[in-house]
Amino acid sequence: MAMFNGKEKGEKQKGFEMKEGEIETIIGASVKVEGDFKSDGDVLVQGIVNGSLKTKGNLRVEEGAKIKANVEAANASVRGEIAGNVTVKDSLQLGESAKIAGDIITKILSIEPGAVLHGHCSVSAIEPEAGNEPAIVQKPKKEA
Amino acid sequence: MYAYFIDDWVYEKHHRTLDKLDLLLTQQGVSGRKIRLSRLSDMNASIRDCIGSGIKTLVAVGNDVTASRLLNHAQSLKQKDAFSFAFCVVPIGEPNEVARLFGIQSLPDAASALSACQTRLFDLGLLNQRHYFVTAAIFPKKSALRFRSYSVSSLHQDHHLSVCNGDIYRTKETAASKKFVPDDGVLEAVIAYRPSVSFWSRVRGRQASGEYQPESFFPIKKITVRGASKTISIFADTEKQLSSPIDVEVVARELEAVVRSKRAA
Repeated sequence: MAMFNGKEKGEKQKGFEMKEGEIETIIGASVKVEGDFKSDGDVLVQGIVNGSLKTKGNLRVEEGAKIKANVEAANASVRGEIAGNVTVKDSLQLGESAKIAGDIITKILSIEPGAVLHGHCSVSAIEPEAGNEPAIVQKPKKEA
Repeated sequence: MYAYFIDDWVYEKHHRTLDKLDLLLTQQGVSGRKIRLSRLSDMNASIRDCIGSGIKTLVAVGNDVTASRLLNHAQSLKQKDAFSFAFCVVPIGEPNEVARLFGIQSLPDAASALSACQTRLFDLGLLNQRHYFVTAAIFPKKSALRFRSYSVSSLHQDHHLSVCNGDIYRTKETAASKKFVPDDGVLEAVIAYRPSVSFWSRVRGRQASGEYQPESFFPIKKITVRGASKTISIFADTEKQLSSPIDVEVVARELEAVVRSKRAA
């Protein structure tokens, strides 16, 4: 199935892999989740999430997914849109179709050409603490 | 010792199958007490009588309706009288998802499972603190899922909402994307939809498969499902009418079931 092609080059290299059949939660393309979503396992997002999204496992945001929420995960691979701050414990990968409007805190960051990022980015070997949100960033004003 | 609870319609429509079952059970040395279930029979009294006389395995002979009826009565009595029992299903007629979950597809399967007497613990789903189910609870279309801190709604009109213990969809996609483990202490809330076929595809002769494809999966221990009306009809092993909202929770590893051993398969 195309939506679970979790063994792609980039992910294997970083040692972050979401195996088929072991994903705990799948938020499908035709589903909208509203509120504070929490999980202990791997999460795959293809649909819409509004509120907050926290998982102790890995997160995969597919192309076409729209998240309006602060996101926390152990590892994350993003190809969809996120409007909110992203805190990732280990490795964050932004695919070419990724769009993030918010701040990023992570240990390892990889960005493919074409990914869009509006916000501050903090990449350090020190583990980001959960709930330790980055400073509020004012979005650049559009020039007339 | 075994007690076979045989549904009334099985006697009426499948007497040859029953003869065949009798023969198989005698050959395997697992024959036992037979109880005919009519609409008016007092199942609680029959179960109490069986347990009192030292019978440990209750076997439903029939389809999912028979299995669900026996299971619910036995579980309710178990809460009051505190006894233990093993449960099995001999599949006759359709649907037979419960037997399938136990790995039993036919009469010989059931006979060999009963003679080997290999048991496995299964989770049970519980609706409104009253109705138990083993396979899945399927809700009507306009229902909404409400978790403790978030809610889930479908953007598709033609969606299918269910809380599953076993894989009731059995599509290739489900097998690839999600494993249903019936003894892991969690149930899966599944939202499935029926893909629509475009006008041009219909012109080309392609028709909708009619099958729902599971798309979203949420592991749950407890969930509330709200229906569009006060009383909703749901399918939990068998059809039930319950008042909305419906609390669905898992009772982890509650049911000891006789399963077909892999070696026998």
